[in-house]
Amino acid sequence: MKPNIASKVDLSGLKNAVLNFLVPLICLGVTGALALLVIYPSIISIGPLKQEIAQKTDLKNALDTKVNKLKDLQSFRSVVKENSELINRVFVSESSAPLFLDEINQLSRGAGFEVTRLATSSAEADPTTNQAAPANPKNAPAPTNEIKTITAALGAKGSYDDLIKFMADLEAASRVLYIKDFRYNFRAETDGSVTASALDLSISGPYMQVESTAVTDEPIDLDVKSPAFQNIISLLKKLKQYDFSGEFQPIIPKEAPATPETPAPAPTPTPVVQGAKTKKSN
Amino acid sequence: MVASINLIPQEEIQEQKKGKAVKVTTVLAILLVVVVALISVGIFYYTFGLRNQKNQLESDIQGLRTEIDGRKNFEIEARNLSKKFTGLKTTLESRVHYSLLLSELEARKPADLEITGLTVKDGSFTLSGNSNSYLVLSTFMTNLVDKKYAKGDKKLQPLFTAVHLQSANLSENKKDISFALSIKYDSQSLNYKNRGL
Repeated sequence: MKPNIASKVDLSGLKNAVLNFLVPLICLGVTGALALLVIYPSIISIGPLKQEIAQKTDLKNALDTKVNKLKDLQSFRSVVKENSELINRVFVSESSAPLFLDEINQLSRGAGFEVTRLATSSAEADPTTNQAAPANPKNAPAPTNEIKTITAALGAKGSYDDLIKFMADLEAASRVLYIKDFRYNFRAETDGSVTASALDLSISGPYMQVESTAVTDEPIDLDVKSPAFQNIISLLKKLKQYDFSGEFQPIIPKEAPATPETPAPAPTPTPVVQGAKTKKSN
Repeated sequence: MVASINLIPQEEIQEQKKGKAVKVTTVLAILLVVVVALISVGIFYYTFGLRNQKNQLESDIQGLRTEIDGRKNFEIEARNLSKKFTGLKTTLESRVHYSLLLSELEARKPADLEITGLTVKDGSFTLSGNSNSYLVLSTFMTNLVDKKYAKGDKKLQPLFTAVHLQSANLSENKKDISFALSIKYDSQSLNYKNRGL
């Protein structure tokens, strides 16, 4: 007769050992594995994920705003185009020296000046309006989107009232011009009576060439409905436009007055005019 | 009185206590794994949600970028206008309207005083002239710095900030006083808003 092994081996001890030692061990292992493989990496990734979401939310909002702004601007396309043309007329892209001098000449004539000297110098970057622009290293190409100025030196004869009128007309001219400094001096004649005064003005004409590129993620600052924009545009509409007069006078040296026999040169404006004598309009 | 007698051996009691402790440990271990598993699931779903949110945002951003790219030409036009407008605004705001200065000088000048020379720079200028008495010259200087001067432009009342007499000469031949003044002014007052444009 074979001996009953089961009856001889006590299995309850093994069962207890499994239940009481192996299960807690497995549980602890699983807990550790979950903590190491799931909880810890997840907790570590939450911070950067939230940061990334915040950044992307900001970007999405910015792009949303930009899309809405572009749609808005496109619905005012004709207004934008009209305003662009107006601003380009007032704040020109090129120095346009001949037109610049012609405009000053017309303004001088309109104010009653007798122009004795009108000369322009080469264009330069305007330090007063480009303070925020980074310094341009030597031999580097000129930065775009920078305000440059063309400057003219005007010498004239005229009264104090003429000077006020000239200033007022210049300030209301459609191409933006400004006076950096000026000198006004009465010139007494030999008999002691004051007949005319000498004026020396430095007139600057700012200009700016813009070359923009489409940068998808950057917002557009333009708001054609803002009061600031509307105010400037309504101001620009009041300004007086000066085109080429076609009446440019020939160069007449001060010492040698023109005679009727003197042949008039072609009426082409030149960048440098010495002793140009203009008719008084009033 | 009948006293209760515990016949269970001390060893057996110890064994029972040990068995209970081991069972509690097992139950606690199982509970711990359940709790940790629940936390893991929760965190996993939370991060999964965040990743989904991120993916959704990326998809939205891509859509918006495509939409913006479709309006590229108009964007360039708008940017050009924006830059020009900013430049123009800066120029207009920094432009000094000297017509205002000259008109205000004329308004504050007594009738018996004559301006014969002006050298104007941004913020200050020198003025030379003739007057028939020191009183007239004094009146002119007082008028210039009078912050409540009523006969000029009301907006330009605080225009002149300082007046300094540089020289005053009595000329016997001309019988008048020639003088030179150094005057400081607030160039911010001479802006396009006060110009009435």
